[in-house]
Amino acid sequence: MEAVLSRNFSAPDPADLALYQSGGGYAGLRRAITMSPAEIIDEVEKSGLRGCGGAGFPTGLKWRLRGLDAPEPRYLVCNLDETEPGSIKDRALLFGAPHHIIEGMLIAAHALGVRYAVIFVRGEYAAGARVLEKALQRARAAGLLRLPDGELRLDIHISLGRYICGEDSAILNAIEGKRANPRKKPPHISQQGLWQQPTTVNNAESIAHLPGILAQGADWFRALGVNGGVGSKLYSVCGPARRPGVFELPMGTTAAEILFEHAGGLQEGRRLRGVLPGGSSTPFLLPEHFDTPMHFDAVAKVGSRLGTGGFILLDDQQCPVDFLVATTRFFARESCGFCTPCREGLPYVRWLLERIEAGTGALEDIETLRALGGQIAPNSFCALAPGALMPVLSGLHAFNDDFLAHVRLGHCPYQEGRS
Amino acid sequence: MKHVFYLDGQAVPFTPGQNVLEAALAAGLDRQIPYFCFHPALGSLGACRQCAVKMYPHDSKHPPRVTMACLLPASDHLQLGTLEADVHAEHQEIIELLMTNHPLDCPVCDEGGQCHLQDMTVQTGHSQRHYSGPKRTYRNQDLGPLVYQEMNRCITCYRCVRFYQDAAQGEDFGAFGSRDRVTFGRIEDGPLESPFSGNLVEVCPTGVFTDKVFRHDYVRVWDLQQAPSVCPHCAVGCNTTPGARLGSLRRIRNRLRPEMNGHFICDRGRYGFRYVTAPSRPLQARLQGETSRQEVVLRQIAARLQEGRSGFLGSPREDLRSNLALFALADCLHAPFAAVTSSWAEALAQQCLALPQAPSLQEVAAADRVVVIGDLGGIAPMAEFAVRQAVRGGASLTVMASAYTSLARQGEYRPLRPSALPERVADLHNDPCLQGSRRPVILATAETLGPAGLHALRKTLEKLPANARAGAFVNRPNLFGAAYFAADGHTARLQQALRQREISHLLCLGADPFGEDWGAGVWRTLMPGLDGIAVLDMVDSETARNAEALLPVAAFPERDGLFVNYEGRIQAFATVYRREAQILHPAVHHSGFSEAAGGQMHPLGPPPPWFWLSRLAEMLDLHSAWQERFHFYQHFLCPQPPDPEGPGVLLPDTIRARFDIAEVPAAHPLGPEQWELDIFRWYGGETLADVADDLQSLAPPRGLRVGSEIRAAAATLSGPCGSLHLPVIPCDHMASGVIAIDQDGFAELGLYPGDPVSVEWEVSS
Amino acid sequence: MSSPTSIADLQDDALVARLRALVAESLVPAAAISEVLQVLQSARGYIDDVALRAAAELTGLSPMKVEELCTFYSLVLREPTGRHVLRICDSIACHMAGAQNILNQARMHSGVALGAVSSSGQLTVIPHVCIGLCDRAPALLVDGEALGPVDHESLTQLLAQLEADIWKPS
Repeated sequence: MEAVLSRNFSAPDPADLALYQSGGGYAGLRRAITMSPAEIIDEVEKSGLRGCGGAGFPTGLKWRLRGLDAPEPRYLVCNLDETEPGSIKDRALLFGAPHHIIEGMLIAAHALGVRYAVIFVRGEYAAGARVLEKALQRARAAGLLRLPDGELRLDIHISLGRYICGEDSAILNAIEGKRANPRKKPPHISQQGLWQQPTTVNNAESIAHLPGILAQGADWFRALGVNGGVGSKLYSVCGPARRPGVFELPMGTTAAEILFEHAGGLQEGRRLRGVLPGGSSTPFLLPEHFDTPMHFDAVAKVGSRLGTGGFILLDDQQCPVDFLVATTRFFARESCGFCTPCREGLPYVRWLLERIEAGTGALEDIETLRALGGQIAPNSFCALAPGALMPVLSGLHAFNDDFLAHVRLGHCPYQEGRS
Repeated sequence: MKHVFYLDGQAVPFTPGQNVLEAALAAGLDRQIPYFCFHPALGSLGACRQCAVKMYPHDSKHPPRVTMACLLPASDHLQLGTLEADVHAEHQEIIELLMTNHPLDCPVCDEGGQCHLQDMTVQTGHSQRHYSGPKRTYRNQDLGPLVYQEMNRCITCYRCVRFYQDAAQGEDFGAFGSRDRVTFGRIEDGPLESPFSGNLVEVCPTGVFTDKVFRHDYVRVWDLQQAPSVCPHCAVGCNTTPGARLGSLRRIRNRLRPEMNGHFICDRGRYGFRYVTAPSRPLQARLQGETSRQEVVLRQIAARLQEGRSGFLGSPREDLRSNLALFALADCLHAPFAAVTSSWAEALAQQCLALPQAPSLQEVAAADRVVVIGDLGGIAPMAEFAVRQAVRGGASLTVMASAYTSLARQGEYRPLRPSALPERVADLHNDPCLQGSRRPVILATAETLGPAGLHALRKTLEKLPANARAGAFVNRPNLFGAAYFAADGHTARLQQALRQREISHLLCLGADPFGEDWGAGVWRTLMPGLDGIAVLDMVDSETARNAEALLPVAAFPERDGLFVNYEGRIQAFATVYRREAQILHPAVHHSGFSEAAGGQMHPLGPPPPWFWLSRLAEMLDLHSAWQERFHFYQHFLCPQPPDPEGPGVLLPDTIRARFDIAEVPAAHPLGPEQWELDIFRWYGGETLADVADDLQSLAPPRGLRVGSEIRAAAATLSGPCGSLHLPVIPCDHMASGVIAIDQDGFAELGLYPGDPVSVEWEVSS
Repeated sequence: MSSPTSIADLQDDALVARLRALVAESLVPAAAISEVLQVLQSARGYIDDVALRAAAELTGLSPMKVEELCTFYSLVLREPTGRHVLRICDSIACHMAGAQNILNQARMHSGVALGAVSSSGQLTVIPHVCIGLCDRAPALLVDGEALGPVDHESLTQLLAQLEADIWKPS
């Protein structure tokens, strides 16, 4: 497959406007401004593009649901607050495809009738935001921000840091200068979002796909996918692989191909026990499902989630309990503290996991974990806690023997023979 | 059409726009759905996740699901359940999670027995905690003398911060931190600055914020004697529930009154009650400043009255019935009577009463345009609170005042000197700030606006749309009651009689003519012509200290009575408790008790004023005449005394109309070259509350408040009755040409708000 | 925070001018708070009380509101730090790659607790959430610049360079 998003990843200066334009950059925007907003939305809907932040909601439909006649002013936010462990694709875009993001924002702004848009970049990516800023200055100087209805004001907001800012209503609070707790829904942000005005929030990768879709058409985009997937996708692999990294592949590439071909398989002497396929808030995908095409529907069918497409590998030298301690510690620390199940429940889960890992756990702790998992997720205010529990609950099931061994032995079996 | 949904098969009525929890609680179904973060006055948040119900969708396509009642809009024929096993399990699980870090300190927690968390825990049946790990702990903050913080008990419902920041618009209390370490408090230790801080105690569903004053003198809440009462500290008349034990008053809580104070009261109302327990409170009869037997003191007063040279002074600080009892006695003796201490105050009272029906606080909160004249928060904090609710609801606010008050920051501030107000108010109907309004409300502090301004306000209202409402406020609970008696010229006649030596004795009920009441400067000059003063009061006022005879009276929660608030709402308060006998001097106690056995004497602490007045009438052989008049006037003013549990009754317009004929007061606008006075009050300041130590530890310093452009360290003001030397306190954005001083300052100078004053500045060295 | 203060306490006219410009550019003054805090933090090392009050005054927020934000967001520092701040990722990918060893090594080097200023005044070590370098684990941020993978040797070198103020981002 041709490199679409990643074509300038290894260029010396991905913010170079001429370089981007030489590869067809801003052709999508040129076409978009000849189209009506309704036509653009049709095109995006036809392309089958789905939200790349993890939820997979159809982008065109999201735009349509906001309504073409939503009251003005309307706002657009690009979510580049990638903070979930194992998710590194948006970072690659930020450093390697800044013009894709800018062009995508211009297309979306035109389609949504937006005059003010924000690219929300996590503070840890401040260096990447500088690359984006450079690209933005060049695009602005070239007059590219002038849309038919006037110049788009496109701001880069650098976050003060917290995972919850990636939630699509919390991100608005963060931009407004408030504590980034998620907001009560209804009202949905498409009706009352930023400063209570209609707002659309899209993931950076979703935005970055728009130039291609507009330049080459929905059919071209659909055809990029394989095995029932549409378009291309930035997958990534981390953990004990030979070649961890970010790979742009057809959406629908099987897990096996991603893991063993593109990431080069595991390091010497290791055996893969499972992966979290879409960042650390997705359930384990086990080896028997590695032939699954990695697109939203196929992954869901085997009980996991595509999420961000960021694979985290669990091999046979890594204790699964310790693995879950690490993922849960992240979520317990990043809970915003707003709702009870997440704020009180995740530290409780972490504490139970730590006890079991330390060898001081009891059988009923495993049961408590299962029960807690069932209680926290459905009653939480936002998706943070349910995501946190997906690896835990699937891990409890998949690696039950490991949990039991910790309790039986009174220590972590993976620590044996290590000092 | 009546709207209903069904909760466990039971029909629950609702009004469109309500959520399921709100409607269920309003219908009294508080046992079915446990909740924490929802509060009727603060609304839904959806954070605690406690109020789960099972919702059965109308169609068969969607399965039933567990959802939060506080976020679920009520809709017709919605079927909901709480008895399902999964709902019950959810309720228990959330409580269990909340309890993982909550200390098991109920036996030593002040909240115990009135703890929402305790109630909900018992209600949901959670009894065993599985978590055995360490609990998080915090360092508590010292939040000042009124509110005690015990942070470890927090369940993070965000009620406190929503009250303090959103409802009360306070700027010194917030939510800090994140995840399982969110704390609520100030940036650093220090007293809470909001006049409404004490409500934290009531909105907190557990013992994080408890009443620090109650803590000095704590008893278990189930041991408290409680009864419906009315706050005596300003003209709003918030409904309260005092709690007492073993003959002493321990605390004041809000009593829900939707059309008035709603769920909240101000800190003056909550903490000012300590006048009741203040060491300075007169509890024993005094003669010539010495403790004396009640009978001796009564006989002395009776002897004075017999001479026929007495004048009578009632007070807007005393309740209606006591003022009536005094008036009736004056009437029997054909003695001059006045309800207020100066002609200015008399005109003020008349103009207040002559205003058309004032808006309730509930109506204020629903206004779309509000004009506030003067420092409302310093006079009647809960009226200011209602204005803040209107602003939150989108109302525009214009503040015309000499000082940049915290309320002024929420709207358009127009710095104006008091003497300029009558003219401005007369033109309000042309002012853009009220144009296009559908529910305009104008609220004024009566003293700053003055009689002329109040009159102008009444005339302006006639030119505004019929739905425009106005209210005037003082920090007295019964100015409107006292205004009944404030007939034209009574005060002047009384003072004239004194000057001409027609009278040489004064019987004062709750009045302090020689201390801080309006016109005190003049009264002080009249003091030498008096043979004696008799005082009936519950505080040791300047007048009481100079009295020949003093009879202590019961504090308001120690008796029943009636106040007429700024709306003309007659409200009854009930006897909460009786002060215990042991506080009486043993000798007095002995004689008092034996006489009480004969039904003559109150055995328990100071009696209500009418008891003393009844005794005096008896000694003067006027008892039946006195009683007859007393009952006649009471029947005339209030044929059916309202129930203390109820919302009170509003004065009929016919009685108000009597005051419409009051003389038109003259306005005296001053030129820019003249310095003039305005009154400075703070939210905790008021005669009774002034002796409540904890509250008064927060009082701002005394001084002359002037615009910060004035470079002076101090100044001497001179008036007809004296001069005043005080340090200058520079204030940003004050109206130019205005010096704000406290009520004592006015007394010393013998001046009124809006009066010109001569100033001698002292430049700092 | 009740003590009177003003932006002038920052004693840096150029900084104040820059901050004022940020607020003026912002659609809503309060929305400039993130950038204002970032600029103040890079100028002063951390958000001290003077910076907090100045940020509040500039954006029209109360100091309390600014403190609410400072304590919520993880990249805002309200305590003094060393000249260099090392944020060491301890999330899953780095955890599996030995983040704990890296963290321990850095902490031992600093000689003080995590988050404190080393006795040399050069270093503050803070554990941090995933910094998006999972494919280069274990990774860290040096004064905001990403670095990874690091091992015992490269960290030793890095620490030495930081002590000598000669480290440069590649």
